[in-house]
Amino acid sequence: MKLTEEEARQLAKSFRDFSVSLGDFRFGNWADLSEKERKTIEGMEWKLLNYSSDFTTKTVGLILDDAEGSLKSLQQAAGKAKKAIANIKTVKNIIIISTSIMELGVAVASKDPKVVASAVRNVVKTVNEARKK
Amino acid sequence: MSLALCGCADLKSIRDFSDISSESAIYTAFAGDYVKSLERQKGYQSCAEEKEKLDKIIERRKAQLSGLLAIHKEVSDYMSALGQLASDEIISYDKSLDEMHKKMEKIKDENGKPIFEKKDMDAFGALSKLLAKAATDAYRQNKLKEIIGLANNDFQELITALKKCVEGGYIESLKNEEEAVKKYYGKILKTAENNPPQDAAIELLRDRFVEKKDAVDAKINAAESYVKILDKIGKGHQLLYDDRNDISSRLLLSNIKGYSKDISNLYKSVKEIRKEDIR
Repeated sequence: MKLTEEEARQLAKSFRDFSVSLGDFRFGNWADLSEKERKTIEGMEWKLLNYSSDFTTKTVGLILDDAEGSLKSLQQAAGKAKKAIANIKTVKNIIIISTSIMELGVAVASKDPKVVASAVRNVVKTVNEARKK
Repeated sequence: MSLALCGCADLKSIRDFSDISSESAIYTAFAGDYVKSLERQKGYQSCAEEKEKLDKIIERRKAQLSGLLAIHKEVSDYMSALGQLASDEIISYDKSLDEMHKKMEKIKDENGKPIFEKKDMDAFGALSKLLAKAATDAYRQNKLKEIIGLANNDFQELITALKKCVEGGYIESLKNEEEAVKKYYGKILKTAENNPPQDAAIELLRDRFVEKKDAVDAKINAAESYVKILDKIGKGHQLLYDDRNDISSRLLLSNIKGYSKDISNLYKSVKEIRKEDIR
Protein backbone atom coordinates (compact mmCIF):
# COMPACT_ATOMS: atom_id res chain seq x y z
CA MET A 1 0.00 0.00 0.00
CA LYS A 2 1.42 3.35 -1.04
CA LEU A 3 2.21 5.85 1.70
CA THR A 4 0.36 9.16 1.61
CA GLU A 5 2.19 12.39 2.06
CA GLU A 6 0.50 12.99 5.41
CA GLU A 7 1.44 9.49 6.63
CA ALA A 8 5.06 10.01 5.60
CA ARG A 9 5.11 13.33 7.44
CA GLN A 10 3.63 11.77 10.60
CA LEU A 11 6.20 8.97 10.49
CA ALA A 12 9.02 11.52 10.12
CA LYS A 13 7.77 13.35 13.18
CA SER A 14 7.28 10.15 15.21
CA PHE A 15 10.82 8.95 14.51
CA ARG A 16 12.21 12.32 15.54
CA ASP A 17 10.12 12.28 18.74
CA PHE A 18 11.48 8.79 19.60
CA SER A 19 15.02 10.04 18.97
CA VAL A 20 14.45 13.09 21.19
CA SER A 21 12.99 10.95 24.01
CA LEU A 22 15.95 8.56 23.93
CA GLY A 23 18.35 11.53 23.96
CA ASP A 24 16.57 13.05 26.97
CA PHE A 25 16.85 9.68 28.73
CA ARG A 26 20.56 9.35 27.93
CA PHE A 27 21.44 12.88 29.14
CA GLY A 28 19.09 12.65 32.13
CA ASN A 29 20.65 9.36 33.34
CA TRP A 30 24.21 9.98 32.18
CA ALA A 31 25.94 9.05 35.40
CA ASP A 32 23.82 5.92 35.93
CA LEU A 33 24.53 4.49 32.49
CA SER A 34 27.74 2.74 31.58
CA GLU A 35 29.72 4.08 28.62
CA LYS A 36 28.70 1.04 26.58
CA GLU A 37 25.02 1.66 27.36
CA ARG A 38 25.35 5.35 26.46
CA LYS A 39 27.01 4.44 23.18
CA THR A 40 24.29 1.91 22.29
CA ILE A 41 21.51 4.37 23.06
CA GLU A 42 23.28 7.13 21.14
CA GLY A 43 23.57 4.85 18.11
CA MET A 44 19.81 4.19 18.25
CA GLU A 45 19.08 7.91 18.50
CA TRP A 46 21.00 8.73 15.34
CA LYS A 47 19.39 5.82 13.50
CA LEU A 48 15.91 7.04 14.46
CA LEU A 49 16.78 10.64 13.51
CA ASN A 50 17.99 9.46 10.12
CA TYR A 51 14.80 7.44 9.59
CA SER A 52 12.98 10.71 10.28
CA SER A 53 15.04 12.48 7.61
CA ASP A 54 14.29 9.64 5.21
CA PHE A 55 10.55 10.02 5.72
CA THR A 56 10.79 13.81 5.42
CA THR A 57 12.46 13.30 2.04
CA LYS A 58 9.69 10.85 1.04
CA THR A 59 7.09 13.45 2.07
CA VAL A 60 8.58 16.03 -0.31
CA GLY A 61 8.78 13.44 -3.10
CA LEU A 62 5.08 12.62 -2.72
CA ILE A 63 4.13 16.32 -2.72
CA LEU A 64 6.13 16.94 -5.90
CA ASP A 65 4.55 13.93 -7.62
CA ASP A 66 1.06 15.22 -6.82
CA ALA A 67 1.92 18.73 -8.02
CA GLU A 68 3.05 17.73 -11.50
CA GLY A 69 -0.36 18.01 -13.15
CA SER A 70 -1.03 21.45 -11.72
CA LEU A 71 2.42 22.62 -12.78
CA LYS A 72 1.71 21.80 -16.43
CA SER A 73 -1.70 23.52 -16.28
CA LEU A 74 -0.29 26.68 -14.73
CA GLN A 75 2.36 26.78 -17.45
CA GLN A 76 -0.48 26.85 -19.99
CA ALA A 77 -2.23 29.68 -18.15
CA ALA A 78 0.99 31.69 -18.01
CA GLY A 79 1.38 31.03 -21.74
CA LYS A 80 -2.07 32.48 -22.38
CA ALA A 81 -1.21 35.58 -20.36
CA LYS A 82 2.02 36.06 -22.32
CA LYS A 83 0.13 35.66 -25.61
CA ALA A 84 -2.40 38.29 -24.52
CA ILE A 85 0.47 40.64 -23.66
CA ALA A 86 2.00 39.99 -27.09
CA ASN A 87 -1.37 40.70 -28.76
CA ILE A 88 -1.70 43.99 -26.91
CA LYS A 89 1.83 44.94 -27.95
CA THR A 90 0.96 44.06 -31.56
CA VAL A 91 -2.13 46.30 -31.40
CA LYS A 92 0.03 49.01 -29.87
CA ASN A 93 2.48 48.68 -32.76
CA ILE A 94 -0.36 48.85 -35.29
CA ILE A 95 -1.62 52.06 -33.69
CA ILE A 96 1.84 53.57 -33.68
CA ILE A 97 2.39 52.60 -37.33
CA SER A 98 -1.05 53.95 -38.27
CA THR A 99 -0.33 57.31 -36.69
CA SER A 100 3.01 57.55 -38.48
CA ILE A 101 1.19 56.83 -41.77
CA MET A 102 -1.34 59.51 -40.85
CA GLU A 103 1.58 61.87 -40.33
CA LEU A 104 2.74 60.97 -43.84
CA GLY A 105 -0.70 61.78 -45.23
CA VAL A 106 -0.64 65.19 -43.62
CA ALA A 107 2.91 65.76 -44.81
CA VAL A 108 1.85 65.02 -48.39
CA ALA A 109 -0.95 67.58 -47.98
CA SER A 110 1.68 70.19 -47.12
CA LYS A 111 3.34 69.59 -50.53
CA ASP A 112 6.72 70.28 -48.93
CA PRO A 113 9.19 67.67 -50.20
CA LYS A 114 11.42 67.96 -47.13
CA VAL A 115 8.48 67.35 -44.81
CA VAL A 116 7.31 64.42 -46.92
CA ALA A 117 10.79 62.89 -46.94
CA SER A 118 11.04 63.21 -43.16
CA ALA A 119 7.61 61.61 -42.71
CA VAL A 120 8.53 58.72 -45.03
CA ARG A 121 11.73 58.12 -43.07
CA ASN A 122 9.70 58.09 -39.85
CA VAL A 123 7.23 55.51 -41.21
CA VAL A 124 10.09 53.23 -42.23
CA LYS A 125 11.80 53.65 -38.83
CA THR A 126 8.54 53.01 -36.95
CA VAL A 127 7.80 49.84 -38.91
CA ASN A 128 11.35 48.52 -38.41
CA GLU A 129 11.22 49.18 -34.66
CA ALA A 130 7.81 47.49 -34.40
CA ARG A 131 9.14 44.44 -36.23
CA LYS A 132 12.03 44.12 -33.75
CA LYS A 133 9.60 43.98 -30.73
CA MET B 1 -13.12 61.38 -15.20
CA SER B 2 -11.56 60.48 -18.53
CA LEU B 3 -10.84 56.93 -17.25
CA ALA B 4 -14.50 56.51 -16.28
CA LEU B 5 -15.68 57.78 -19.66
CA CYS B 6 -13.66 55.24 -21.56
CA GLY B 7 -14.16 52.42 -18.99
CA CYS B 8 -10.41 52.19 -18.47
CA ALA B 9 -9.43 50.57 -15.20
CA ASP B 10 -6.59 51.54 -12.92
CA LEU B 11 -5.24 48.10 -12.04
CA LYS B 12 -2.07 49.25 -10.30
CA SER B 13 -3.02 47.33 -7.12
CA ILE B 14 -3.19 44.09 -9.10
CA ARG B 15 0.11 44.94 -10.76
CA ASP B 16 1.76 45.59 -7.37
CA PHE B 17 0.31 42.39 -5.87
CA SER B 18 1.50 40.33 -8.85
CA ASP B 19 4.96 41.88 -8.77
CA ILE B 20 5.60 41.29 -5.04
CA SER B 21 4.15 37.77 -5.33
CA SER B 22 6.39 37.01 -8.28
CA GLU B 23 9.47 38.37 -6.49
CA SER B 24 8.85 36.43 -3.28
CA ALA B 25 7.83 33.21 -5.07
CA ILE B 26 11.22 33.04 -6.80
CA TYR B 27 13.00 33.15 -3.38
CA THR B 28 14.56 29.71 -3.61
CA ALA B 29 17.08 29.88 -0.74
CA PHE B 30 15.00 27.41 1.25
CA ALA B 31 15.07 24.80 -1.51
CA GLY B 32 18.88 24.82 -1.55
CA ASP B 33 19.12 24.77 2.24
CA TYR B 34 16.72 21.78 2.39
CA VAL B 35 19.63 19.75 0.95
CA LYS B 36 22.36 21.52 2.95
CA SER B 37 20.52 20.96 6.23
CA LEU B 38 21.00 17.20 5.85
CA GLU B 39 24.65 17.69 4.87
CA ARG B 40 25.16 19.64 8.11
CA GLN B 41 23.39 16.89 10.10
CA LYS B 42 25.79 14.33 8.61
CA GLY B 43 28.68 16.39 9.99
CA TYR B 44 27.50 15.78 13.57
CA GLN B 45 27.46 12.00 13.23
CA SER B 46 30.36 9.56 13.59
CA CYS B 47 28.92 6.19 12.50
CA ALA B 48 30.16 5.41 8.94
CA GLU B 49 27.16 3.20 8.14
CA GLU B 50 24.67 5.92 9.09
CA LYS B 51 26.66 8.51 7.13
CA GLU B 52 26.43 6.29 4.05
CA LYS B 53 22.64 6.07 4.45
CA LEU B 54 22.49 9.86 4.74
CA ASP B 55 24.51 10.23 1.54
CA LYS B 56 21.78 8.33 -0.32
CA ILE B 57 19.05 10.50 1.19
CA ILE B 58 21.05 13.63 0.27
CA GLU B 59 21.20 12.43 -3.34
CA ARG B 60 17.42 11.98 -3.35
CA ARG B 61 16.98 15.52 -2.04
CA LYS B 62 19.30 16.89 -4.73
CA ALA B 63 17.16 15.13 -7.33
CA GLN B 64 14.06 16.77 -5.83
CA LEU B 65 15.59 20.23 -6.20
CA SER B 66 14.63 20.61 -9.87
CA GLY B 67 11.00 19.83 -9.06
CA LEU B 68 10.97 22.33 -6.20
CA LEU B 69 12.61 25.04 -8.27
CA ALA B 70 10.20 24.38 -11.15
CA ILE B 71 7.22 25.14 -8.90
CA HIS B 72 8.86 28.32 -7.57
CA LYS B 73 9.64 29.44 -11.10
CA GLU B 74 6.22 28.69 -12.54
CA VAL B 75 4.36 30.50 -9.75
CA SER B 76 6.71 33.45 -10.19
CA ASP B 77 6.41 33.49 -14.01
CA TYR B 78 2.64 33.28 -13.90
CA MET B 79 2.37 36.17 -11.39
CA SER B 80 4.84 38.20 -13.44
CA ALA B 81 2.73 37.69 -16.56
CA LEU B 82 -0.43 38.70 -14.66
CA GLY B 83 1.40 41.78 -13.44
CA GLN B 84 2.39 42.79 -16.95
CA LEU B 85 -1.17 42.29 -18.16
CA ALA B 86 -2.44 44.45 -15.30
CA SER B 87 0.15 47.14 -15.96
CA ASP B 88 -1.01 50.43 -17.43
CA GLU B 89 2.26 50.69 -19.34
CA ILE B 90 1.16 47.97 -21.69
CA ILE B 91 -1.89 49.95 -22.79
CA SER B 92 -0.31 53.38 -22.63
CA TYR B 93 0.22 55.06 -25.94
CA ASP B 94 0.88 58.47 -24.45
CA LYS B 95 4.55 58.78 -25.35
CA SER B 96 4.28 57.58 -28.93
CA LEU B 97 1.09 59.48 -29.70
CA ASP B 98 2.45 62.68 -28.14
CA GLU B 99 5.50 62.48 -30.41
CA MET B 100 3.33 62.00 -33.50
CA HIS B 101 1.02 64.86 -32.60
CA LYS B 102 3.92 67.26 -31.99
CA LYS B 103 5.30 66.44 -35.44
CA MET B 104 1.92 66.89 -37.06
CA GLU B 105 1.48 70.28 -35.38
CA LYS B 106 4.64 71.50 -37.11
CA ILE B 107 3.56 70.48 -40.60
CA LYS B 108 2.72 73.56 -42.70
CA ASP B 109 0.98 74.04 -46.05
CA GLU B 110 2.55 75.69 -49.12
CA ASN B 111 1.78 79.12 -47.61
CA GLY B 112 3.64 78.30 -44.41
CA LYS B 113 0.45 78.00 -42.38
CA PRO B 114 0.06 75.01 -40.00
CA ILE B 115 -2.30 72.45 -41.49
CA PHE B 116 -3.94 71.86 -38.10
CA GLU B 117 -4.72 74.41 -35.48
CA LYS B 118 -3.24 73.69 -32.07
CA LYS B 119 -6.62 73.39 -30.33
CA ASP B 120 -7.74 70.81 -32.90
CA MET B 121 -4.53 68.82 -32.44
CA ASP B 122 -4.91 68.93 -28.67
CA ALA B 123 -8.47 67.61 -28.85
CA PHE B 124 -7.51 65.00 -31.42
CA GLY B 125 -4.51 63.98 -29.32
CA ALA B 126 -6.55 63.50 -26.15
CA LEU B 127 -9.27 61.58 -27.98
CA SER B 128 -6.91 59.28 -29.83
CA LYS B 129 -5.17 58.33 -26.58
CA LEU B 130 -8.46 57.51 -24.87
CA LEU B 131 -9.73 55.47 -27.80
CA ALA B 132 -6.48 53.53 -28.12
CA LYS B 133 -6.40 52.81 -24.41
CA ALA B 134 -10.08 51.87 -24.21
CA ALA B 135 -9.80 49.42 -27.07
CA THR B 136 -7.02 47.46 -25.44
CA ASP B 137 -8.20 47.97 -21.86
CA ALA B 138 -11.43 46.04 -22.48
CA TYR B 139 -9.39 43.24 -24.04
CA ARG B 140 -6.94 43.34 -21.12
CA GLN B 141 -9.64 43.09 -18.46
CA ASN B 142 -11.36 40.22 -20.25
CA LYS B 143 -8.07 38.37 -20.55
CA LEU B 144 -7.26 38.88 -16.87
CA LYS B 145 -10.70 37.53 -15.96
CA GLU B 146 -10.28 34.54 -18.30
CA ILE B 147 -6.76 33.63 -17.20
CA ILE B 148 -7.39 34.03 -13.47
CA GLY B 149 -10.53 31.92 -13.88
CA LEU B 150 -8.61 29.24 -15.75
CA ALA B 151 -5.57 29.15 -13.45
CA ASN B 152 -6.98 29.49 -9.95
CA ASN B 153 -7.42 25.78 -9.07
CA ASP B 154 -3.96 24.81 -10.25
CA PHE B 155 -2.41 27.93 -8.74
CA GLN B 156 -3.91 27.08 -5.33
CA GLU B 157 -2.64 23.48 -5.70
CA LEU B 158 0.90 24.69 -6.37
CA ILE B 159 0.86 27.23 -3.53
CA THR B 160 -0.35 24.44 -1.21
CA ALA B 161 2.42 22.15 -2.52
CA LEU B 162 5.07 24.81 -1.86
CA LYS B 163 3.70 25.43 1.64
CA LYS B 164 3.77 21.70 2.39
CA CYS B 165 7.33 21.39 1.06
CA VAL B 166 8.51 24.23 3.30
CA GLU B 167 6.57 23.03 6.36
CA GLY B 168 6.77 19.26 5.94
CA GLY B 169 10.16 19.20 4.23
CA TYR B 170 12.39 22.11 5.10
CA ILE B 171 11.15 23.05 8.58
CA GLU B 172 11.05 19.37 9.64
CA SER B 173 14.59 19.01 8.35
CA LEU B 174 15.70 22.04 10.39
CA LYS B 175 14.06 20.57 13.50
CA ASN B 176 16.08 17.38 12.93
CA GLU B 177 19.17 19.53 12.52
CA GLU B 178 18.40 21.26 15.82
CA GLU B 179 18.18 17.85 17.50
CA ALA B 180 21.48 16.79 15.88
CA VAL B 181 23.15 19.95 17.29
CA LYS B 182 21.75 19.14 20.77
CA LYS B 183 22.98 15.54 20.67
CA TYR B 184 26.45 16.48 19.40
CA TYR B 185 27.16 19.32 21.79
CA GLY B 186 25.18 17.71 24.59
CA LYS B 187 27.52 14.70 24.61
CA ILE B 188 30.70 16.80 24.55
CA LEU B 189 29.41 19.05 27.36
CA LYS B 190 28.34 16.10 29.52
CA THR B 191 31.69 14.38 29.01
CA ALA B 192 33.54 17.60 29.91
CA GLU B 193 31.34 18.24 32.96
CA ASN B 194 32.10 14.75 34.21
CA ASN B 195 35.85 15.20 33.72
CA PRO B 196 36.77 18.37 35.64
CA PRO B 197 38.39 20.88 35.66
CA GLN B 198 37.36 22.20 32.23
CA ASP B 199 35.34 25.31 33.08
CA ALA B 200 36.76 27.52 30.35
CA ALA B 201 36.40 24.86 27.69
CA ILE B 202 32.85 24.14 28.81
CA GLU B 203 32.02 27.83 28.60
CA LEU B 204 33.33 28.05 25.06
CA LEU B 205 31.51 24.90 24.05
CA ARG B 206 28.28 26.16 25.51
CA ASP B 207 28.59 29.40 23.55
CA ARG B 208 29.22 27.48 20.36
CA PHE B 209 26.22 25.24 21.05
CA VAL B 210 23.96 28.26 21.61
CA GLU B 211 25.31 29.92 18.45
CA LYS B 212 24.56 26.87 16.33
CA LYS B 213 21.13 26.36 17.87
CA ASP B 214 20.21 30.02 17.39
CA ALA B 215 21.23 29.84 13.72
CA VAL B 216 18.87 26.92 13.16
CA ASP B 217 16.08 28.67 15.11
CA ALA B 218 16.50 31.78 12.94
CA LYS B 219 16.09 29.67 9.82
CA ILE B 220 12.97 28.04 11.25
CA ASN B 221 11.51 31.51 11.92
CA ALA B 222 12.33 32.67 8.38
CA ALA B 223 10.77 29.54 6.90
CA GLU B 224 7.60 30.01 8.99
CA SER B 225 7.34 33.59 7.71
CA TYR B 226 7.75 32.31 4.16
CA VAL B 227 4.82 29.93 4.67
CA LYS B 228 2.75 33.00 5.66
CA ILE B 229 3.86 34.73 2.44
CA LEU B 230 2.72 31.78 0.36
CA ASP B 231 -0.56 31.75 2.23
CA LYS B 232 -1.15 35.45 1.43
CA ILE B 233 -0.29 34.93 -2.23
CA GLY B 234 -2.82 32.10 -2.40
CA LYS B 235 -5.53 34.12 -0.65
CA GLY B 236 -4.87 37.17 -2.83
CA HIS B 237 -5.25 35.15 -6.00
CA GLN B 238 -8.43 33.56 -4.62
CA LEU B 239 -9.79 37.06 -4.05
CA LEU B 240 -9.03 37.95 -7.68
CA TYR B 241 -10.75 34.76 -8.77
CA ASP B 242 -13.87 35.34 -6.62
CA ASP B 243 -14.28 38.92 -7.92
CA ARG B 244 -12.92 38.44 -11.43
CA ASN B 245 -16.20 39.60 -13.01
CA ASP B 246 -15.61 43.02 -11.51
CA ILE B 247 -11.85 43.12 -11.55
CA SER B 248 -11.62 46.88 -11.36
CA SER B 249 -13.91 47.27 -8.34
CA ARG B 250 -12.60 49.63 -5.71
CA LEU B 251 -13.16 47.11 -2.89
CA LEU B 252 -11.23 44.34 -4.63
CA LEU B 253 -8.35 46.65 -5.48
CA SER B 254 -8.27 47.96 -1.92
CA ASN B 255 -8.22 44.43 -0.46
CA ILE B 256 -5.52 43.31 -2.87
CA LYS B 257 -3.46 46.32 -1.83
CA GLY B 258 -3.62 45.01 1.76
CA TYR B 259 -2.26 41.63 0.69
CA SER B 260 0.59 43.30 -1.23
CA LYS B 261 1.59 45.26 1.87
CA ASP B 262 1.52 42.14 4.07
CA ILE B 263 3.59 40.12 1.61
CA SER B 264 6.09 42.93 1.21
CA ASN B 265 6.58 43.26 5.00
CA LEU B 266 6.90 39.51 5.52
CA TYR B 267 9.34 39.21 2.64
CA LYS B 268 11.53 41.99 4.06
CA SER B 269 11.65 40.16 7.41
CA VAL B 270 12.52 36.85 5.71
CA LYS B 271 15.43 38.45 3.87
CA GLU B 272 16.59 40.21 7.07
CA ILE B 273 16.58 36.99 9.10
CA ARG B 274 18.45 35.08 6.42
CA LYS B 275 21.08 37.84 6.19
CA GLU B 276 21.93 37.36 9.86
CA ASP B 277 22.45 33.58 9.62
CA ILE B 278 25.49 32.47 11.51
CA ARG B 279 27.26 29.80 9.48
